[in-house]
Amino acid sequence: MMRMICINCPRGCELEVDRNEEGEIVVKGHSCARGIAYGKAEFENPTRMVTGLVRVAGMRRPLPVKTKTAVPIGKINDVLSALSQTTMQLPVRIGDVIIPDVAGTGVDVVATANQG
Amino acid sequence: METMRGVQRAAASDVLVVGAGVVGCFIARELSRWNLNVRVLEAGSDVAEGASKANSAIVHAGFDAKPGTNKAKFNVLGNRIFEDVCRELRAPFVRNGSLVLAFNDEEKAALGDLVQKAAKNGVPVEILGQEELRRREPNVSPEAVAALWAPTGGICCPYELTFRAAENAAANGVEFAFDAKVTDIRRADDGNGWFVTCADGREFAAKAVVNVAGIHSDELNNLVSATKYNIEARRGEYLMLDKDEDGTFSATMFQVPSKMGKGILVSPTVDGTVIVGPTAEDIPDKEDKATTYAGLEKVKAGARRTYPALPLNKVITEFSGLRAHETTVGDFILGEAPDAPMFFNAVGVESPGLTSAPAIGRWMAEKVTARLGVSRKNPNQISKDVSWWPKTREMRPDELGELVARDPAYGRVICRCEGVTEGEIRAAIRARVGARTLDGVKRRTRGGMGRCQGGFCTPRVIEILAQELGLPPDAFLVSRKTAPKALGASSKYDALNACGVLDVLVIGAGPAGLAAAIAAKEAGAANVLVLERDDAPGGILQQCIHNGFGLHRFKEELTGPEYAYRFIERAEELDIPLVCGTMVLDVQPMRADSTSCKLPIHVTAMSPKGGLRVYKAKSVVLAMGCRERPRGALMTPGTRPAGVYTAGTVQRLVNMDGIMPGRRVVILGSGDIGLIMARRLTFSGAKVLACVEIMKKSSGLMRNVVQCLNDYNIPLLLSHTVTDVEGRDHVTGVKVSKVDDDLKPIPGTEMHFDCDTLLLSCGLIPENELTRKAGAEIDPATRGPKVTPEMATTLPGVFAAGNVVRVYDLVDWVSRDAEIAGRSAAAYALSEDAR
Repeated sequence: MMRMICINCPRGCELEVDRNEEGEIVVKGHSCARGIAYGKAEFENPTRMVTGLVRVAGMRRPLPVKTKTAVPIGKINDVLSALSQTTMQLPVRIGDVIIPDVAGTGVDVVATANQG
Repeated sequence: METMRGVQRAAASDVLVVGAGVVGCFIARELSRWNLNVRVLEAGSDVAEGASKANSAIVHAGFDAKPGTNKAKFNVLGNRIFEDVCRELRAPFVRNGSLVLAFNDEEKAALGDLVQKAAKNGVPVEILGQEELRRREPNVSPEAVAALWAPTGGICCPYELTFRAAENAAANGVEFAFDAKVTDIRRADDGNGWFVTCADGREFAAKAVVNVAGIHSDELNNLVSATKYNIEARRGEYLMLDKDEDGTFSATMFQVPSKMGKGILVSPTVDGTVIVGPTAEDIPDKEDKATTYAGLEKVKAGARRTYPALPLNKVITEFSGLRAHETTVGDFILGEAPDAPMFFNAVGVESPGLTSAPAIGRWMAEKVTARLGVSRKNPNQISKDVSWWPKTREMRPDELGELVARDPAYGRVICRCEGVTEGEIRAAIRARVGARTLDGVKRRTRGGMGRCQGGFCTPRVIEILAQELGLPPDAFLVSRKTAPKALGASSKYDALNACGVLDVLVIGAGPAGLAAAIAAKEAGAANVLVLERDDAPGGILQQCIHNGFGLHRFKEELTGPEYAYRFIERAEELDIPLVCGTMVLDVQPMRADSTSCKLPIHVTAMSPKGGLRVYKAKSVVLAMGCRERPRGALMTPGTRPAGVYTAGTVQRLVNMDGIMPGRRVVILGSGDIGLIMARRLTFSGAKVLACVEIMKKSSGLMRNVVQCLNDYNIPLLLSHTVTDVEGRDHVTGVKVSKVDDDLKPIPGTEMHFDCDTLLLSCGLIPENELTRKAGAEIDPATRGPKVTPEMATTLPGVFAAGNVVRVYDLVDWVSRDAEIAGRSAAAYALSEDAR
């Protein structure tokens, strides 16, 4: 059984999520349908979008980047260490791919600002 | 042989002045008028590092010093010459007079004693009745029944006075050595002169030594003389109130003095703030400049006696200073030590030491030079230079315009609260005894001393310091080659300027300003212009590199820069000029002239390239955003070390300047920026030990509590607050206590965290200086302008948008409401045309 707080609205329902005997995921404590969807996703495969910074050659200001879509929580550290090993050359535009298929997640890291 | 080696090693001068406080600098300045080599040794990294930087800034009239003492003599002498000295040094001084309040018959009798003392000391005073007191000071407590009026009392700026005296001394050849903590003084083997050794091994030799080491002056004396002195640190805690309180009192308001000192005073300052304090508490540690919960409570209670309406929400900072209280003599100990020839003391110079400083300087120079048998310099050889630089906040618009044309650095505002420009900061660093630290810049320029307490300007000042001093790229001061960009007025603007009156002028190119400008243009306003003080548009979103923006507006999850870029792109498509690097100084609302012809709104702005410029517009949208509550406004007790930042300041340092402020972090307050920074700092390799929230629930979004704290197992301590900040130079730890239902700390619940950084995320305050100056009515609940559903303020043609109106949770709603403001402004401008 997993306990979690639903983040869909400020109400912050405390959810209890578990798998029943039939193998179905059951969410309790929710107040709306969004709570069910959130509880199931967090139970099965919680994911987060990762935002971070990469170095830019010859500049002090780093380049902000993000994973294009959410990656599994367990992969966050791998994504961060890939970012810390990357140095970019300018110019860079929003949406430019900085690291393709980061840490084997199938998700690209893209630039989120125009620089240079 | 010992002497010979010593002579070869040591840097020699005629006189060594040990201590660069206000008294030491005045002694050095006076000595510089004689044919002498003078060197000042200072344990700190700057002048005015001790009591001179943390005191009441009062030039005492001299009515309460015990007649016949050195305190009385030098107080009265010092007061007499103070105004002339300040004029010579171009340091601020106001003779505002002092009042001592009596609240009952006993205290009334004490006023009588003061009158007698004043007569003996030769100080003019008179007794005022309650009615006259209330007429002069309408904000004084109705409980005050009488007062002593001393018209010669005044106020000054103690650190400006000190560094101008140091500059003038340096202009006349005095050398300063900093970080020179004296650990040993011994007489030369032949008996002529002294050797002084510093903690870092540096040695200095001199014929005479003047001991002005403040709180440590007893220790220096006791190294060389059998007449031992003992100085106790008598700590005084203070609160400083915002410039909004300027004019609350015209005189310095004292209470009847006690044997511990002159009691809690409430006084205007030369900077327009109001100072409240000090307490008087003898403490064992001569370095302990922490403020305390109990001390600040005492200050509040004492001040309320004088000023019952004391507004705690106007507190911008609190600090404490240490008086050098000598216990064996109890007076200023001045002159040559009886058993140590050529060793001169200025020991136990506590209040009224600041007032006495110029007089002690003259007296001491006479004594020292008489013993050395040297002559005065020819008066025309004495430089009057004090390394003065223009203070833009005090200049008339035409003067300022000329200055910026000559030197564009005076057009780039760095500290927006106090109106301090890059030119002033560079001048302060380039002075003879120039600033070397953030505090040095702060005290010389007031940059970072205003209501946001450096929240916005700290990263920018670090950048200038690093440039000017060519510092190596170490942990904090990394930037050496990135010159600040000064975009100035664009060519698009010049085309527009030809049109004369703008339809809609928007102040601020953050999310609110951009959305308002776009909506105004789309609603038919032809000439729309945006002025932005930063070097690039986007506002605070530039540093919000995390995701979570735009879920409502764009139905997708964007980062801050991406969200901003969608609006910047649209503004460019619509050909709306975004004029960056331009600080608006004044908004003059629409008014009718003598022919009852309506004049447009006048907006005065300054930029490095364009200088001072007046824009005219039919309507204006205010979109200046908000700022963070600084530490001072929270009244957290403890020391004031480096390592305490607001969350947004750290966000900028990490995300835009590539600087990590620390490795072990505690966060006070659970506002969204603090939560976001908990995750960012964790990502960047720091350990976030706890997020401490005084309320029973987090003030941040649920999403951020889960995804920034819970995901990384960072504890959220609800109903807790930071009750002590430890560390002298840098934060070494914090104490956290549980609070009761009245938010008061519960004794016995203290926890300790070893940390090097304290982040504050305790709320945002709409930035409405311009709004207020323009005369718009402010809603006390939101602290923003009162607005109609159309986002109109109480001033015709002036609209407001975004966090300047009220603090929003989500940028999506800022954009939505700002579009209403933009459309309303366009409609107003078009209706003006129709008229």
